[in-house]
Amino acid sequence: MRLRVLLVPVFVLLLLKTQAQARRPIPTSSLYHFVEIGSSASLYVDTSSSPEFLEPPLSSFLLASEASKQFVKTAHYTKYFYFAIHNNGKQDFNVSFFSAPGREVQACRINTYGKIIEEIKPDSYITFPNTAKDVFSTAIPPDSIYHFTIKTSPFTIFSFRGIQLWAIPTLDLPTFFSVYTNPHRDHAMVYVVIEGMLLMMLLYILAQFIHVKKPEYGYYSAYIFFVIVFAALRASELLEVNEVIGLGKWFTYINDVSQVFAYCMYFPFLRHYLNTKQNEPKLDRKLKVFSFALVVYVFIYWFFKRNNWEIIGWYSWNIVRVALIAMVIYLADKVWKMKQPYAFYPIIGGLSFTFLALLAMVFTIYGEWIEQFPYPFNYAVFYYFIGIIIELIFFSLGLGFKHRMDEVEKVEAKQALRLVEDRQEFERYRSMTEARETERDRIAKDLHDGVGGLLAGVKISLANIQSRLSLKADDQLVFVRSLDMLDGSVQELRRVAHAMKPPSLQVFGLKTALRDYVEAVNSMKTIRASFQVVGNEHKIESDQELIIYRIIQELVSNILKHAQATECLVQLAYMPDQFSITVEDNGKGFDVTKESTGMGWANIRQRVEFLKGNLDLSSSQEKGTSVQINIPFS
Amino acid sequence: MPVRVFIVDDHPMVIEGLSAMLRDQPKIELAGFATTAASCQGFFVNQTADVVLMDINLPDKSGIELCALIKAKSPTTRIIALSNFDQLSYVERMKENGAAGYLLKNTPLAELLQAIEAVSKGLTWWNYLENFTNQLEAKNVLLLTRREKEVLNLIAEGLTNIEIADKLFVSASTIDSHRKNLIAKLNVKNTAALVRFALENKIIGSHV
Repeated sequence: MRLRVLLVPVFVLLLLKTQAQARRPIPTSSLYHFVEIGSSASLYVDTSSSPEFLEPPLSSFLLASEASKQFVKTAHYTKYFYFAIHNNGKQDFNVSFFSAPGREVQACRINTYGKIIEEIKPDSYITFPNTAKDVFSTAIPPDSIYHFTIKTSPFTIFSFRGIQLWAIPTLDLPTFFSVYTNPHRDHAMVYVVIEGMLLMMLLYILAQFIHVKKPEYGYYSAYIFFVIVFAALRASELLEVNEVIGLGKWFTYINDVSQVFAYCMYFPFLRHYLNTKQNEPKLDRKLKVFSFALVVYVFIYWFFKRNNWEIIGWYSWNIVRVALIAMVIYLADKVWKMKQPYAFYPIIGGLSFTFLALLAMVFTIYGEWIEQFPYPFNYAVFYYFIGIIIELIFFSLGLGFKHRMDEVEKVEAKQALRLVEDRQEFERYRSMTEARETERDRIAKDLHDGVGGLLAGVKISLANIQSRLSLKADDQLVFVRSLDMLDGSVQELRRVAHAMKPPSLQVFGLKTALRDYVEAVNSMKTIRASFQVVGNEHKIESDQELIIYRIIQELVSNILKHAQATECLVQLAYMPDQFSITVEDNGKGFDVTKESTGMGWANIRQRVEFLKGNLDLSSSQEKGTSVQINIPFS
Repeated sequence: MPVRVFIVDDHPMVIEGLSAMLRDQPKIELAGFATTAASCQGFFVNQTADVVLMDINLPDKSGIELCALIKAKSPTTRIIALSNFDQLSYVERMKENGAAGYLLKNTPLAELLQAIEAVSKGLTWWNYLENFTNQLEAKNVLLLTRREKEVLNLIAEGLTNIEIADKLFVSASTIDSHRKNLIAKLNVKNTAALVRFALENKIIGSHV
């Protein structure tokens, strides 16, 4: 809200500018730099005095003192000095230019396109005021404007500090004349450079658009395109080649409309860039309406132009300009509140442009003030174009920033998705294994405690009555044999139950359970199994412990089934950041390239993968098999 | 004076069998039986027994725990674990909690009677422990796995993790794990010390 207060001085400025331009008599182009020569009274030549041509001409006027200053200040290169003299009188008006003799000075009459009509040869020689000078003279007919150019070499400029331009009226005056110079012709280079930069930007953004395929890039390219059109038209006007284009009165129309279209692209660009559709629906609607109103204005403005309502057109255009600036400031205010870092870029860009454009406007009104600055800062339009360049730089920075932000967001979203998937996978696996393990748990418990207990009871009871039974010798043997088998079945049952669910894992943890397991393997006496632990035992999640236990069980049972080994080693290593399992044997080894076919290996690999671990497998016929599995602590 | 024996087991059939057996023994008097830990504790509030035959797997409390509780209540009572668990860890835990012996449920009657007699005289009955002979933890020197020796050899040859990984067809991070394991196992500070240790102890150069 506070920012909108800025609109008041903007509006006053625009009105001032409009007034200043309306007041000025404009001969061909409104953009001539007008050199005032004293008061209007002094423009009338006093006929009573008799001018002497080759002596100090008392009745002559120093016409170009203003303009010649620019000579001295600038140019270390060949310079063209352009000006025009308007003879408003009823008689011929003789003008003469002076320069030091022998200097490389060429004076020419040119047409408005800058083409040389005739070269003016030095026709006499004077000593004035105290140095020798060549005189270039020509006569301007009544009611006409003659354009001149004077070409000087750099050396010349330095040696005599600029051309002194004198206009010497003929005897039978009074006459009335004005002199115009156009400093912009000297600044063609600025336009070339700026247009070049804009074109490069356009190509770059277009390339980006093709690559990124986001609408804001498209609108931004279109925006730059219209800025280029506008800048080119403006430059052609300043360089006085506008008539070459031959648009007549439509020239200013197209010039202004190119600005309107630029803004018609700027607002949609902002809409997509800021994603106002989602973030600020109200602002989005306003921007849409505003863009639409601008398009409507193009037609209204056309109507004014068609009917030659120049003043109305001029004022309406200035009102639109105020509205545009108001919109930019309003947007800045809105976007500032969005507190999004990427949103600041177009706003800083837009505000810098607005600021510099207004500055340029101030400088066109109060041009004298910037004369003191070095080239090209003494040149009002320069600020305007610098504003455009700064704006575009900020927009491009913003686009880059936004693009990177979007990319980062995409990556983060992908990661988040992967996390979710991982989690789902984990849950799926866990619920699956959990169900299986619960089932195993139940069966193991039933077998061990239920059936096992019962069998133990039966065994004790039978053993108890054995002494009291009187059996035949053979029957006695059968009875003993049965008891033995009952014993065997109890042992077998215990083995099966333990394989299903190690009872000590839940109660005492992985290390103890594995030691029990290795002991159990050992007690079968078919293999000498060793167990060792490195590092201090960490508590591992019980889900993981069970999986690790199962992996080792699988590995050892593989050894027992296939390896024909006499020794095996099971090792647990607790490191600060990971946990590793090693299972080795001295058996006959196997072809590691074919391991994947075995069901057991598929299970092991799946489990290791689930634990996000890695598996190192090496096997040879001479040495046996060594498996190491590393599991990071999560 | 006969030895007073108390039986704790959640299977009535075991209790029945055992009591039938023990009833015939002149030197033994059956003090009572319980099918839960709570019931057993209840018995020991006002009474006592010389020997308790205790199952580990009880419905309300583990026998390991119960053993410690009974020993605290009645320190003179001797406890023999009579269980279906044949694992070392259970045996050890019972021993830690003050049991005097450990027997599997399918132990012959003669051994059971011997055990009861022994513990009642203040001796212990850990014959079952003798089954577990291969106690590596008792050894102070940890064995290096074959893979670790291989890796250690290659480290001593001056190869980097990546080079070793290429040679053994595994990832560099796996080799790094091996290296860390080795450093931890041999209780050295860094790789240089690792190599020195290996050379001094002639671990490397002698493949398995």
